[in-house]
Amino acid sequence: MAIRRGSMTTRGRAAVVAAALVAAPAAAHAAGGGGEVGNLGQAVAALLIFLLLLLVLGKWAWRPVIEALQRREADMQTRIEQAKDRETKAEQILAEYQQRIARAEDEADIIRDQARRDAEAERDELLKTAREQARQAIDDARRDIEHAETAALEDLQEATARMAADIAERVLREELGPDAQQRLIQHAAREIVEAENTGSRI
Amino acid sequence: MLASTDILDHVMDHAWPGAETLFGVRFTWMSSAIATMILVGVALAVLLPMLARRHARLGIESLSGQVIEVVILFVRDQIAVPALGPKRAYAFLPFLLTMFVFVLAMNLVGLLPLQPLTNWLTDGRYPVGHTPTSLITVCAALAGTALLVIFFTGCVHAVRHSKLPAWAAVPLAPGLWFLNLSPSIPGVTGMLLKVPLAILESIGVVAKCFSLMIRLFANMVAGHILLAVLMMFIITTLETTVTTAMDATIENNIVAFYVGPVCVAGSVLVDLMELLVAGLQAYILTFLTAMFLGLYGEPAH
Repeated sequence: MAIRRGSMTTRGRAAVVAAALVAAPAAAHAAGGGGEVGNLGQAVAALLIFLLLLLVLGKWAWRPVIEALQRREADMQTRIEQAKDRETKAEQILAEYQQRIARAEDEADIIRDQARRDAEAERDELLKTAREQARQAIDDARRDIEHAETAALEDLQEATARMAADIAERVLREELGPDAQQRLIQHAAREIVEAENTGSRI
Repeated sequence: MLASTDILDHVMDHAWPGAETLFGVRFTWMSSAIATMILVGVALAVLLPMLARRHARLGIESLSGQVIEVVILFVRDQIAVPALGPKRAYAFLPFLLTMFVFVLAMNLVGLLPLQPLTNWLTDGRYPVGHTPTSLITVCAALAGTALLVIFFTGCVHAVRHSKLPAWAAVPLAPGLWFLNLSPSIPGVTGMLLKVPLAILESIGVVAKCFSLMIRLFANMVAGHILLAVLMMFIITTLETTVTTAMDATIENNIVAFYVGPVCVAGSVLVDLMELLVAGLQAYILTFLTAMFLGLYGEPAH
């Protein structure tokens, strides 16, 4: 019944609660006769103590701790965000450095290739020069040898001719005049040269 | 002493002598349960601010700081935030915390054998230690507080969200809240059903708070009666045997060897269950209050 009344007028709701609070112990009294199951006094005491506790604890117990908790949680939140920021930054820096390293490696490769090509070119150059010089030296030496050979042959020819002339002169001094002697020498020299030529060819 | 009176004796509140009437009206202003509530209130009002001060000084390095923080975190994360959402939870957190620790402390102090002790000390004149939450009036006060908080939150919410100017909205706040309770249905049907639905919903609010009262009361009183009945078996058996049996000593031995241990073991188990119920009911009362606050105090549009 009390509930129906309360539902019809909203204003009366508080009054209904109060009425219920009064009615329950009163009914208990009526039903129990002398027995005391409950009483309005306990309800009032409970309400008063509850409200006092709410005031006291709200001011001196809950509020400070809740505020400390909120501060700490906010602090933790900012720290977490900071840590996340730092992580992102660190990742960016890491990526940047990795890129730089990759670039540096590329550059190093290029430089190394260049150096190798340069070195190879220089080596080829040096080899070519050395080979050239060697060939030059060999040619010089061969020409010198040819010169010396020709000179030696001429010397030998002359010496042989002179020797033959000497011998012929000694043999024919008495029998031959100076003209005949000259003719004979020339003849002998020619013969020697021919013999020489045929001999060298052999 | 008769067994039946003993059972009721255990469950009943006892007024202190001279505290049964006030200005000639029958009104118990001091009793075992009220003394217990005062004891609990003073203990909490002294202990918790002390813990809070230690928390402020030492943080969670100290055990006291950890204890108060665990309680607050439990109520916040298991009760207030799930029922009210992270934004609104803080507004009602002191109320819910006070309700939780107050009910829990009352339930737990009720488990202590303070009443027999004070009865013995004061010759039965000034008992202290009756479980206040096993009185329906105390439960009604707690549930009524929940209802009032829901009502005022609903009014404040209705004024804040109404399109009317403040001077018109404030006096009409209960009416606005009442109309807010009904779900918004478009069209003529919604207009027609607005008031009947609001009536149904407001019956729901009162019924839910009524259920808070009955739930706490029934749970707390049931365990106590069960314990009392278990212990009464010993006395009842003794009394019947003494009056009927020829050889009282043999029967007494049977009681001592068979009924006694079984009853003691049973009541220890029931006591353990009551320990669980004490915590559970404090949690349930606070959680349901928070849920009803979320449902009706600030109904979603």
